[in-house]
Amino acid sequence: MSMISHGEDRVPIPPADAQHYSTVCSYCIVGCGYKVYKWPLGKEGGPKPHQNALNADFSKQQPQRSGNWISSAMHNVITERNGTRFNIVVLPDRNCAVNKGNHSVRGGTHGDVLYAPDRPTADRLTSPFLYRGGHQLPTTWEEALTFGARIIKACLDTWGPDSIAMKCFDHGGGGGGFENNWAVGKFFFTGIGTQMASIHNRPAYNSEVFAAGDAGLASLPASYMDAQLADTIVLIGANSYETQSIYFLEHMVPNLSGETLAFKNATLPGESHAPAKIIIIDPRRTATVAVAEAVAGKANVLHLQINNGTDIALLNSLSRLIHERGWHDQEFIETRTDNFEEFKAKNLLQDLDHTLRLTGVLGEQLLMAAEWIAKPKSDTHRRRTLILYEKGLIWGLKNYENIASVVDLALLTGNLGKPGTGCSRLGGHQEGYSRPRYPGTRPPINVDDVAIKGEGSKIFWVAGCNPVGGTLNAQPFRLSLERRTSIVNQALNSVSGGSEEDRIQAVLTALEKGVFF
Amino acid sequence: MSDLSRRHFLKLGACLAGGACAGTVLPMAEASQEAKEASTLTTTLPYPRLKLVNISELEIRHEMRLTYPDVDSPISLIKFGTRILHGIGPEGDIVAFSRYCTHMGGHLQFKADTGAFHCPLHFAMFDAQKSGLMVIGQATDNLPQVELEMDDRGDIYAFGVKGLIYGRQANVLA
Repeated sequence: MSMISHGEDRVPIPPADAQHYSTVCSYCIVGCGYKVYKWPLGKEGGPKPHQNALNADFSKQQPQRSGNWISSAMHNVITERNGTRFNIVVLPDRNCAVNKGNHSVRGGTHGDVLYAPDRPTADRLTSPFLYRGGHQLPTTWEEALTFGARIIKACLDTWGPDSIAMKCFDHGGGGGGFENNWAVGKFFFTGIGTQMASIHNRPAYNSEVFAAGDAGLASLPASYMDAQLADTIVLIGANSYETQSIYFLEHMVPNLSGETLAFKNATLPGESHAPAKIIIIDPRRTATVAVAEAVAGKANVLHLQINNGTDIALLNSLSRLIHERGWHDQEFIETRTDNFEEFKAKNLLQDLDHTLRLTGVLGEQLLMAAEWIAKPKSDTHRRRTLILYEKGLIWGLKNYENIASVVDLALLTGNLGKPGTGCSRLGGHQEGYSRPRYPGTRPPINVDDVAIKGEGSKIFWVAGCNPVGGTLNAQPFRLSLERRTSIVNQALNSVSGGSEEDRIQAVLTALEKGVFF
Repeated sequence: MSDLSRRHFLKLGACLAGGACAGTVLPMAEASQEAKEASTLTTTLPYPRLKLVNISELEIRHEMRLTYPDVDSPISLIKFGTRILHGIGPEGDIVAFSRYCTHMGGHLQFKADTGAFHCPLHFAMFDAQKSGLMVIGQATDNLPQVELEMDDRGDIYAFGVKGLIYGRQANVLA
């Protein structure tokens, strides 16, 4: 069944006495609010306002954006442990300041993706698998836990804590973030004490944007309100219509369309305001570009369609152009930053012709971008520019330098700590992040690199992520994992008829040869 | 195979795949017979059977704006001129859809050049030639498709809607 074609022509509505809860979306980084309604199966609210929990008149057609329409994807029937069945509706919260009743294609399916024995969500892995005779076969938890624990213990005793490497998810959201993350940290850091830790989408145990932290920036120095106030919004490596949909649709689009002009005038009086301009730096022509053009008009959208991997040259060139034209924020530089001379001697020497060749961007586009970011609105008022970036910038071999370049651009132009400005990712996850301290060094060890070189760890524990899908140097990493794990599988196959003792010995013997379990 | 409708073709395919229909006579139905087939919708709602238009009034790729199952539910009926998914009529090219976006009820605009419905609210797109499939956007369901049939005189009737119409708890109002 496709999620997107339910084919149903009615949904049950929550009765007036349905239980209801507020929650936050468990998907992306925006943090939209949702209302959950729960009531016994077999019972339904009536169409009249007093007959249902939404206080809506379903005997009539609801107007657009009513915020009380339940799509088929928002409803499900769940079974509790004692066998009682309940209707569940997860509806976008129209009173939430983030989404105002709006939802993305992800958030709209919270009901749909709940576990239900008679829906596709019933398709779950319920028992552990072990290699036997070349196949992964189901086994009991007792056998799998004993087997795993004995090998981990043997590695720990023989080679020490760093022989156990891990790559674990650290999201949780509705799935129990606090508990999951705490248990993972307790086991690997307090219990085992390994430094060989990494997070689902990166090769080490660090922030994805630690260059920003090193420069002294808070992780999220802007609020969604800044997107409503900015003169210019810069999106780098972010397709926000599709991936931070509600941040884009509810907070950036109204600024691009001029809908927030009254709010801008009231909040920031004494300076000129216009609908925002937007610069989108992305090698692809994305849906975000198309939507921005439709809302703001092509004249107010600058799409810098750079060649892959040329962000640093582009960003440093923008810094250089801005500095040469005197559009930088001298006061901010003097009072809020240090090492400016070093920055001048390095970033500001970026050769502009070289940048045009590297990036494929035209000279006039580069100048226009510099103007939109930093050319003051008047003698007394600077432009307010909000710079936001995502995976296109933060996932790459030059992660640190990418982020450093964009942070430097923001510092140069004073676009931090003032209304309508900021420089950060588009958000953070609802991780429920809480763990014992990482026992390793700073900067942390690049676990994937160690694996590629064939050193160190004997065990690579992967949980809730695709290790190859979220690393920097994917192909060598994949091949290394494949080669080293296949040796263990062969060792297990050679004793597939043997006892548990035989199989543990086979694995440990293989591990001595520098393989991965 | 050419005069096998897609619906029959799929049935045949299911039979072959299931391996349980050997010896069944192929349903070589004509279009008019196919039109009389019962709805695949398992519904208890009392949909009206409503005459929408006569086929002779339709222009190719031209949207005809109507309402169904009641006056508060705008729909668009389009004849594409080439056979499309779940289309009816002699060419298998006539379809009708709800004109309310299944995201937040935006009033959809049909564009002949894309063959799709476009939402002005949050820019969703639904392909009218692929049974209302969402091409891009934030909706969680395809566009509800009006179930149509045509009689011998070329009169086109609506008799149901597959998928929940925006803004309703049930497609037929209480």
